[in-house]
Amino acid sequence: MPPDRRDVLYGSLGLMILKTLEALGPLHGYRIARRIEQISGNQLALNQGTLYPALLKLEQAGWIGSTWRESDSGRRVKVYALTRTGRRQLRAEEAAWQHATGIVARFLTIQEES
Amino acid sequence: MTRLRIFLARLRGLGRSRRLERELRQEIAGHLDEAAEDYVRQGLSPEDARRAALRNLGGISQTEEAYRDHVAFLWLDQLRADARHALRALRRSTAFSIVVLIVLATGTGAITSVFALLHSVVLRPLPLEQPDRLVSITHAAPGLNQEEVGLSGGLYRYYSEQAQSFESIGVYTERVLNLRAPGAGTERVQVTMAGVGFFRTLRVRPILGRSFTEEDAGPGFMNISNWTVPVMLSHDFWVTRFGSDPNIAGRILTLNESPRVVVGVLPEDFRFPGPHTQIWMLSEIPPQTTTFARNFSLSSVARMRSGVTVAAARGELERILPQIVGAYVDATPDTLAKLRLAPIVTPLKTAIIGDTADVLWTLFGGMALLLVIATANAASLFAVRAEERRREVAVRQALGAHRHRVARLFFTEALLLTVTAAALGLVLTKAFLWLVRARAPVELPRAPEIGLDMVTIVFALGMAVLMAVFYGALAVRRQTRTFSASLLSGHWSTGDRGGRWARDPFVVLQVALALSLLVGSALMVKTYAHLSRTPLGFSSERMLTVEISLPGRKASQHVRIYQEVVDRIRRLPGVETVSAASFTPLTGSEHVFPTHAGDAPIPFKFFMPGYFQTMKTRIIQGVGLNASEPVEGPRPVIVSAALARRLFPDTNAIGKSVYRLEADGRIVEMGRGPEPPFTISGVAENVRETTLRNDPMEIAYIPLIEPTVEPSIVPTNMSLVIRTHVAPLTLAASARDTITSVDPTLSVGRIRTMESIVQAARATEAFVGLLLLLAAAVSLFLGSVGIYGGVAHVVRQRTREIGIRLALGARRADVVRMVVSGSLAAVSTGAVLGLVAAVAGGRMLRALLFGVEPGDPAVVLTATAVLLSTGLAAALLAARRATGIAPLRAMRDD
Repeated sequence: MPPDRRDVLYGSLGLMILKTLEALGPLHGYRIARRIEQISGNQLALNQGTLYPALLKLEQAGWIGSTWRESDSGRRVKVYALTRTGRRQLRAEEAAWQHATGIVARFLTIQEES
Repeated sequence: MTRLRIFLARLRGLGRSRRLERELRQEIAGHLDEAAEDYVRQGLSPEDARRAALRNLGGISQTEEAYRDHVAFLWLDQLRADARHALRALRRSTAFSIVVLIVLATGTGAITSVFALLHSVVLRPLPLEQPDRLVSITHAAPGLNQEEVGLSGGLYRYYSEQAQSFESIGVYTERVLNLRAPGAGTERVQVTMAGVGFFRTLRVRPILGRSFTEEDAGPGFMNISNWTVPVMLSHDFWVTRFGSDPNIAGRILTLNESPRVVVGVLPEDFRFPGPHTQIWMLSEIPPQTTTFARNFSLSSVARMRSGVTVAAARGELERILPQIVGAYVDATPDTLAKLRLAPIVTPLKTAIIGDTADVLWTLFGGMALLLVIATANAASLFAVRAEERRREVAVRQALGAHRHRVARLFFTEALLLTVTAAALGLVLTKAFLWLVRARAPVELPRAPEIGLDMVTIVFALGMAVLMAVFYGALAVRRQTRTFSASLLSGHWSTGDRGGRWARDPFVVLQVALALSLLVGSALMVKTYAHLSRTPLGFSSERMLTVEISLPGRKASQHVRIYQEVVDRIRRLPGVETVSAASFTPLTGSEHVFPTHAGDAPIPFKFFMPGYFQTMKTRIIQGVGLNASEPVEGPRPVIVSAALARRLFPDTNAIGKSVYRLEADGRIVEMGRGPEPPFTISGVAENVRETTLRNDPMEIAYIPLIEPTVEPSIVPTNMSLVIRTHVAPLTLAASARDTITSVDPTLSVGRIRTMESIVQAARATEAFVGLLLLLAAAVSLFLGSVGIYGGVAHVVRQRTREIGIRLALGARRADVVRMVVSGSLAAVSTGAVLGLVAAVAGGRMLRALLFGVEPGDPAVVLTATAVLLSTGLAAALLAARRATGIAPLRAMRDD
């Protein structure tokens, strides 16, 4: 296990799930978890268990939907997919996130200058 | 938006939580399998792979727990757990739960019952449009020797035209008329004679047809042959009598021999002036016959313009009244000065409910105190229980239970009890309201509106929540104050003095309230007994009364017809004697001469010969005009002893003359000259004619014999009084048949026994007495529970001390005496306070009391004795039970 794996930044897990589903289409829980870990280059200590409450929350908000399906390996899995409102929400959150990180980034540059 | 969606999803989650959790378990299982497979592919052994998968997941139960928090509502879940826990705890101590339930159910039931009455009768606005703008106009009339009179025709017209404070004024009087419908015989109906402004003022719209219009009351309205006088029907009457006939408008009814046309039907909830009115008939006095100074008999309802206050309206009437001079022939400065009228404007609701509001508020205050008692009582039980649970709570806290969580547990437990109690209380309320509607005296206003509604239910539940908060707070204060460690180590403790002092005031309060209610109910019982013993002046035994009435066109034959009815009924088997009078005692009827004899109006009553004999009323002096005695002199009259004493205080009344006088003191003119005087031929003992109490019983009895009385005052309503050998009501049918066989146009009204009339006259006192007795019984019960609880608590706290005393050889009796005497201080303090409250409360009851003073020594002593002995019994019982334990156990036990 890499020594400096970070915890998932508060509030960003939902965004990661939404983005993953947008990029790869419908997926089940384990695949989503693996994908997030892979994208982060195994830099993220995702406590995989926290994924499920997060999925429930997103579903309650109406941003993703779920169905039970047969997976490629023949297992019965619950497959999550982005809904239309979820796609809209993702756009909004992406923008908000970039805006926020942009501001933080600018602060960091100022500090380097001084 | 999103928040709402989440909320709704969670709401759905309430029902689906089980399925969601099952799905999660499936998901996690799949997740772990898949992860393990991946690890195996990376070269781990199956066991290690599984362990790594689990580690990455972060634990199954943790995941499930985190998930569950989002399924529905966390707090609801916890509440459910708390409730389950509380239920278990309560079931463990059944005795505690049952007693608390009984105590609180009685308390909430009592206050909710009175609240339901208060709400239905006093608080709820009248079911009319903008009811706060409706008022009733009356006048104080010291010049007529009357506290309050209605409007005269002149005043009604004058105010309608001149007073700016009112939008409109409607007048009305209530009558009983004979209704004849084709093929259905004659029946008596309750009619409200209403002015043309009546429905406009009340803003009531008929559900069928139309209301009265100005054209209806236009020129020619009072024409005798005018059959277009419109009437309206009550909803009930329309349904029961006319089968909800949708084509009722335009139908002709015969009321007192005159045809009337139905124009409309009123809504179901319209009950003004009272629930008994079946028909409203238009009645306007034509301007040419309107007078100012006579007949102040019109009741009124007026709608104030918006923004006008009651005081302002009254001010205006006071201002414009003197200017009525000249508006009518008899409106002279002289009559105005003589009548001394003073306008009174009363909000309509107040006018309708009258004194009932005060009675109900007083009762509500009493019940509120009762609830405080019940609450305090249950509080002492809760305290005892909390004491027992200190150890449990200490363990919980030591194990890390948060203070919040413990508090919530107590609160939930209390809430469970109080809400159940409130539900039981509502059942009691329902039963009580049924009793009220079945038993209430007729005078209870707005009776048909009484019921259990949403507001009352919310009130009961509100009480429950308040009590739960109180108990929760009490328990938490008690628990969190305690230093847990000392309890866990089995710290030795003698009584907790703070706790004991906190409870004593409860006992004092309970005793005080129980005693004051006891005194109140004892006063009512004594009042009732007094009323039952009041000499009536007649005998109500085995007597049937039958109301009959004669169509106006046969008035000239009244003596012959009444005589024939009496004669034929006398021949019925089972009849001892029979006679008739224009009304029977205690029915609320009264005729008063429109004029004076002496200086005050005289009530009078027409009777058929033999009336006094039948009623068993003694004739003190002179003759009673019984059927067998010859009539002496013209226009004989019999007066009551009280009237004889007032008119002729120093001389023998027999043979003296009584004149009917006009308001201005002149002898009534009739026909061609002054009306001849009546000659007093007998003096009868005083009879309770109108009420059982405070009746001056001044009355003149005018016999219906030839030559007869002037046609304008011929009584068309009479009541037969029939003394029987058999049970009176068995004669009802044959009496009715006999009456109609004499003349089919005679209508038969109520048939009642004299006994039931007398009982109805005591109904209010009986009802209030019953209410107070119930309240006193409840508070005595609660008080005893309180004393018992208090003593039991003291004993429990002193168990160890008692154990030592017993072990050292004290006798049980000594210990019992020690414990009981300790509680007697509180009981006697309460008794003293209770007596003070009883004297104060007795003043409020004064209006209802009869033959007994609020401070009646016998009543006070009896009530105190009952209370003290009950209190002592409760204390003894508790003390004996508590000291029954073996000394060794007492010392070991804590």
